[in-house]
Amino acid sequence: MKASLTIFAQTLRKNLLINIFGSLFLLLWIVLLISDSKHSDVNVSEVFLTLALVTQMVFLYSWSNHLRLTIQNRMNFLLPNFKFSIWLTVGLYLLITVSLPLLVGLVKNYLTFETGLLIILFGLLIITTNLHSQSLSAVLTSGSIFFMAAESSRLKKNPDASFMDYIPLSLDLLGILVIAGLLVALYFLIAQSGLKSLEKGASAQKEEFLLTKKAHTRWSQWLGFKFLQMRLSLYRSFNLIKRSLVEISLWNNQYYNLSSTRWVLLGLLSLDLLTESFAFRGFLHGIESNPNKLEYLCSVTILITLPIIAGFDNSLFARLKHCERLLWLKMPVDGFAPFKNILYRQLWISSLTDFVMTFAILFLLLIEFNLSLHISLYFVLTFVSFKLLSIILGYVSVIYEFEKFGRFMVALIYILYIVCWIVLTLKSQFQSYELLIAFGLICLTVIFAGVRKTKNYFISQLQ
Amino acid sequence: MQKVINVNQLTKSFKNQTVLNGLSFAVKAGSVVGILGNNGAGKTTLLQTMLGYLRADSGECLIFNELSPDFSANTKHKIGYVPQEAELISWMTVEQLISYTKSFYQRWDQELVNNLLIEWQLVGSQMVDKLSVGQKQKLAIILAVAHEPELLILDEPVASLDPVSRRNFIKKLIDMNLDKERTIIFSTHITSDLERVAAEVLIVKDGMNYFHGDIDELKEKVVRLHLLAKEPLPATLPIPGLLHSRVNGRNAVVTIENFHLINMESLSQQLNARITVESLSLEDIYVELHS
Repeated sequence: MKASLTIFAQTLRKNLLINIFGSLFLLLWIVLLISDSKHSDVNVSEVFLTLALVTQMVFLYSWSNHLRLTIQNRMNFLLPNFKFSIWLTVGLYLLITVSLPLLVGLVKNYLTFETGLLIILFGLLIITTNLHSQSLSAVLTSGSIFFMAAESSRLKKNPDASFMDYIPLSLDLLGILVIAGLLVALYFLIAQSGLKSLEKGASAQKEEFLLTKKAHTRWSQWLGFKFLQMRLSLYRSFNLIKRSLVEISLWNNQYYNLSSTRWVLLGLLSLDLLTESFAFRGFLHGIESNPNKLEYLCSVTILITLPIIAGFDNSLFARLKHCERLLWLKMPVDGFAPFKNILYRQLWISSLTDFVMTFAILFLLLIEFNLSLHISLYFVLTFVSFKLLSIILGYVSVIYEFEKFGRFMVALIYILYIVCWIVLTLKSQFQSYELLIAFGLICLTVIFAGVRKTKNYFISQLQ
Repeated sequence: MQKVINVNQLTKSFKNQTVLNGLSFAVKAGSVVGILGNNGAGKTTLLQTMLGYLRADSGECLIFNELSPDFSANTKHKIGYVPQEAELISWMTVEQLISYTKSFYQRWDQELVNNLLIEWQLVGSQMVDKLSVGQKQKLAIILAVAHEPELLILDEPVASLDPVSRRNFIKKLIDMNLDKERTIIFSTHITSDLERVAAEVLIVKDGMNYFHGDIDELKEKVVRLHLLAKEPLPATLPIPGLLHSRVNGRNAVVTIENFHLINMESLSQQLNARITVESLSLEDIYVELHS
């Protein structure tokens, strides 16, 4: 039994950062539930459902990805009790992400039969589709979220309508049927994956280790490569290759997922702002129509979005190191310092692009949610603090090879920040914006002073 | 003859571990030098510090009379380097990567590139990421030699190649050295390859230059002696430069590192023994020096 828990234990260890974020969402959720008496006119059941789904997404995306990689490694199926171990792991995933919200919902009386079904369905949908393909899962999950957003928006505009009333079927029955279908798919995915991998391995002519390694990310990598090929063709058509030699080498090993998520967010927000048809504002209005409480929900939404946009794409530093090695003997530049200057100029340009793009997302969110000036200022400050913290720590951890330290610090400060934010909003009145702004400023100052000191310390250690 | 590489008292440590410890050597133009050393002896660190990929703690390295790492563009373009693990751009096709690399250089031997691509069965439309380790290594070699460098530095270049490609590559190296008088320096574990290509060997041991010179000279210095005495031999034999000894009554087998300094006649009289000298292969010498 202990050996069967190895995969589950590995999942927790491998995704420490995501688990920390996941824990934060849980924490936020619990605090919200405890504080529901304070915000009594917030529709706590709706907030509960939203947070339950978000929590499921955060945990399951991270965990099932690791599980998919474990299943896809065909050698693992030769291990004794491997399938039992996989089933146990899936069971534990579902216990945490589905059973716990159901239990809390039942105890606190926030749950209806429909919302219960939705939580089960959403959890199963993410885990089943993820075990097949992460991209398919991402498309289906985001599709479901936006469908629900659009439905909420429709219900808000038309109070006589009910959820999916255009379908001539009982929604409960439909939900049960989909859940049953997902369970069958889950069974076949786990039962057949190993066999498929073995067949693939037998017909393959290449080295087995390469195939195993590449199978993990082939779809997202294929998309990333196609995107880069397209960029290269564009540069070639405009005769930009000679002038962009450094930039092109920096494209290697980019975090495609992070950057593509940001582009999708930017695209959706721009579209939403232009057409005013669906998504965020409509969704939130559907949940809560009280303007004061709506601001609270908008703030929570921005807080959830901040880890995606406020973090800096630290792969840039790792890519810069690769670029440095790749180009050092090739670049027609005299001396080492001028060569470094060229690289750092490119680093500035890429960093600025990251900053402008993510700031545009925040800016659009703030416009979309129509938050007050004080609270908007507070989020801008938070964004700048996180971004700078992420950049500086990324620089220290990658360029000076203290990666683990850097990641740990980023995770720790995120935790501290969000816990402080929750405590502040609960202890003081949420309307005390001045306090929040002051807190943001303190954060910024501490981050600057602390990181500068840390960096100087490490530089002195290195010299 | 002009010195292409001049390494002087090079020291490099990682945290508390000293990898290079005051290492010095020089390489003349047109030489082929093989670097031998155990795993972790500092071969890769030496090559990377020489080229400026790593910063030396102390000491200096001059390549084409320019101090590392402040090379001019001209000097850098005279160097071709193949790292132990090929550093390539994975999302490009072979053709795109060749074209991209070509953009950096004034000189480019496209004919050589085409010939090597055919010989090593690399297809231009193949994605670099899909290549096997050996194919990547071949591509890295093509990219390193295409701009016709005067100095070629290779860090275990044949480790990932199959025996046929290895032989072909070694032949290419010999041709490059003979036809174009290129200086070649490479690290390897395969002593037979080294004997086939290199005239000189640099043995790195404990971060220091243990031996640098002609392979033949090394073979003359390190030999194995077979002793057959009339009386039982002492457990500790009074032979200078003794590396290993195995004494068994009146018989003994010893390996010595300074055969050229020993007067065999007087040693034979001193031990009252008949001595037979056995020449060693480079691999045997390497094993004797490191065991």
